[in-house]
Amino acid sequence: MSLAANAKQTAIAATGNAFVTEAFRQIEPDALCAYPITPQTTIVEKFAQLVADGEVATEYVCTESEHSAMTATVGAAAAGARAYTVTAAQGLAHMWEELYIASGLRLPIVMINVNRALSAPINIHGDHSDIMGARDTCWVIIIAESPQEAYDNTIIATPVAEDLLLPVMSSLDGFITSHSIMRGDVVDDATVKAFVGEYTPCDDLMIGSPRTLGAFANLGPTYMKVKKAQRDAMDRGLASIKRVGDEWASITGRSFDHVETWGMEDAERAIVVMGSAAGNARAVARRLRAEGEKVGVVKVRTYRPFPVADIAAALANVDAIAVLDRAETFSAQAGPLALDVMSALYDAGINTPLRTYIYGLGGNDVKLEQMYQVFTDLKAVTTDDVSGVVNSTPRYLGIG
Amino acid sequence: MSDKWIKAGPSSIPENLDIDNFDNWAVEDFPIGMVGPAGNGAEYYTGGWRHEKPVWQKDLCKNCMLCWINCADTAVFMENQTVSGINYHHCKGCGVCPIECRFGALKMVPEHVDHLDPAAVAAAEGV
Ligand code: SF4
Ligand code: SF4
Repeated sequence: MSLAANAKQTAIAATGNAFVTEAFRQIEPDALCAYPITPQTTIVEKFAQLVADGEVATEYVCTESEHSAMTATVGAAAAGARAYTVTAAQGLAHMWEELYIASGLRLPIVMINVNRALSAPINIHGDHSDIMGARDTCWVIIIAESPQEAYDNTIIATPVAEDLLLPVMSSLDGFITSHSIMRGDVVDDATVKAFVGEYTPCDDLMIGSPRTLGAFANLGPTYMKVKKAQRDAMDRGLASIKRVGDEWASITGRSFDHVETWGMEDAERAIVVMGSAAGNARAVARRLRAEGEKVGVVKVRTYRPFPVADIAAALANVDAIAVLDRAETFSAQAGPLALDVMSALYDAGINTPLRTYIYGLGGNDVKLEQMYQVFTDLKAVTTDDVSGVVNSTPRYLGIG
Repeated sequence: MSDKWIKAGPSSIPENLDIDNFDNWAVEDFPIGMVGPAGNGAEYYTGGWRHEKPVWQKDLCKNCMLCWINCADTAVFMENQTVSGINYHHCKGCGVCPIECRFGALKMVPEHVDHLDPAAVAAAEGV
């Protein structure tokens, strides 16, 4: 409470990357290990400048690949450092096996991912393909809609990671959020530092006696028991994220919800979406509302653990649902977010007509017409006598 | 490196860790992140993977320690800062050390060759 009373906020106009760098500067982690070459972002470029200028005491470890970046981050965290890294696209894909090591060793690493498409063909623009490769690695995943949220999520990620002893990935949409300048509020340094607090590592390698981390667990149920412990930690995730998010909200006045709803009190049709495209969906929903159409938008901010109950509650009373995915699974039915939403609804016994869409792959422009098209599709669905998933494969938006 | 890294945090290793009974531990008994005492790899033998083995020839060795630092299995014995042979309980026979050795002091020979018999080692086809 005293933090909230003394906090000061300053409005700035900056890119998502600059907002994240500002949060990094304020948190001043012990170590930041990153690969400085493509697909790296200006977050590391700007942070390296802060280190060079002596503005932060962080140890900046420049590695020779993203695989090494995550390995070095794991090493630093195991040694007892508050260790961060930053990546994007192929970089995250290249880290994949180390992601499991970070979570298996229960290291509270914070990673910023500027989410982008995966090759081939080569494409450097924003979509969620890279995130989905990390989906099942036991990392907490929070996804920002805007530079402001990218800033807030970066700060929230630190206490969450250290509370759960799980790594947290905070992601923002490549270019749309990472490179677009938006107005936002940053909190004063002292408040941010007090909010994240001093870090006391658990079982670190620097306390004097040597240790074995992630010891051999080959035969019998040991490996499974350790994985169950990870699941138990992940199961505490939603409460932990919400608690930290609410505390941060009490300082900033910006609410935190795993699932953010717009117009859902009486909506008949809803779009479920993640990341920057939520703004496009809301813009169209607002116009349709002005014309008397009962539409709403459900934005997913916490992606792992997946907020099953919040999703089901948000969608309990609509007549038709559209789930928009910015990544493919190439599975029979739908994109990854749609599969999660469908599972959440099944769990809640909801069999509302649902359509799945793929949009914005490789940074393909997310135009308002696409959102109009989705709401129009949904209208047709509500007049047909259907239930459950409509059409067995997702509809591609924005390819003509 | 800043001093603030070096401080004792709460440990998740239980006071009386009964390692031999780990099969019966409950999920919450495991130290977080599977942390345990160090050095127990010494008790776990992995030498059975070899089909060839390196033989260390003391007379040719210059104690440069290239073999020691390059062995991914830390299977090169050291005594008083001097290379003193190969730990066959742990050497996997990967063949890296004979290539790293600039002095021909390590020779890769088939596993069945008696490494204690210089004549047999000399006669063996090797690297
Ligand atoms: S053969 Fe390989 S494992 Fe064996 S001592 Fe040489 S480097 Fe080590
Ligand atoms: S590399 Fe060769 S010379 Fe150097 S210490 Fe090893 S055996 Fe001896």
